[in-house]
Amino acid sequence: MRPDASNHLRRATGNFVLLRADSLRLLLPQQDVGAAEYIERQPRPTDVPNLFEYGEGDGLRHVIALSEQMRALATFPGGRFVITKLAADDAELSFAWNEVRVLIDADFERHALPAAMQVPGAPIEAYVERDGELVLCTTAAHVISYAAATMG
Amino acid sequence: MEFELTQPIDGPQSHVEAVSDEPRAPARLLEYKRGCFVAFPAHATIGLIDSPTVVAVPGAPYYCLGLMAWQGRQLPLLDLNTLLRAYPEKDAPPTGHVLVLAYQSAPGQPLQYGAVCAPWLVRMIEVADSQQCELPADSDLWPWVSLACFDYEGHAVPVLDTSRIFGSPQ
Repeated sequence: MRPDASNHLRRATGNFVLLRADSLRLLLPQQDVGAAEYIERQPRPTDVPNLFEYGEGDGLRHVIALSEQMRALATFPGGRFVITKLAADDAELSFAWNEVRVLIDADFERHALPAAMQVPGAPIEAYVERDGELVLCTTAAHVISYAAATMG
Repeated sequence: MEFELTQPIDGPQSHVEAVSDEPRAPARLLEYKRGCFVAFPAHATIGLIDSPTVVAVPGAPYYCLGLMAWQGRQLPLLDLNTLLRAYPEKDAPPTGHVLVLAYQSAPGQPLQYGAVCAPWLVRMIEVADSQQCELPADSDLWPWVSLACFDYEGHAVPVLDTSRIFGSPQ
């Protein structure tokens, strides 16, 4: 455990999307997040563990529901009624959320994680505070790769 | 609910009463697991908080429970038992009290703060040089995270370096 005084502040400005999966609150750049789609029925399990599907034909989506540790859940939880597609490079996956909120021209104080929590390659590098809640800063690439690592 | 630790919790206690003239230093004793103790320099212990709200941070080290709010800051909350054992205890008690600690990442740097789980006893004791002993052998991390070690009622109690446990994981 090497001491590191990098708990500095920076500003995060621009357009973001706040995504909530139960107690997990994520802040992603708006360009990483596709349009939100409300779902009326619970997605169906697939042959791939922790992966669900929703819709039919051309509208078929493969969907992941995240835990508060950002792992793909084996059972689709109640309350996840919005899905969004996350895109990074050539990877693309849909995720189910309790809440999706677009934040235009937002301006946050971005706090680096304390040194004890900084792990190279980890999906979360910083956090912001919004309306008294902690929101974790990440990217679509991190969410996809971290969640995909927990799929069968 | 927060208890400031400017006063000893259970009153000063000494394990060297027979050597009454020997200089003693105050230390905060933490029972981090039933029957297992560590100590911190008294000046590094800031407060005891009851059941704080903890926000999990995906990808953080396995022994880090998350971030907890304290006096306008967000502090990392570490589980020492998991850190020292290198894996989580199956029947670990739920997060109850946590001990807020201060540290400096380097001399002259501003104080920073972190917290550790305090599931059992936390109290102030006094320690004399004659109590010095070898580190326990039940974790490879003791030499890295300890400043010293003393005997307390038959237990080897490492004195932890807060700047090491709250530094970057290696």
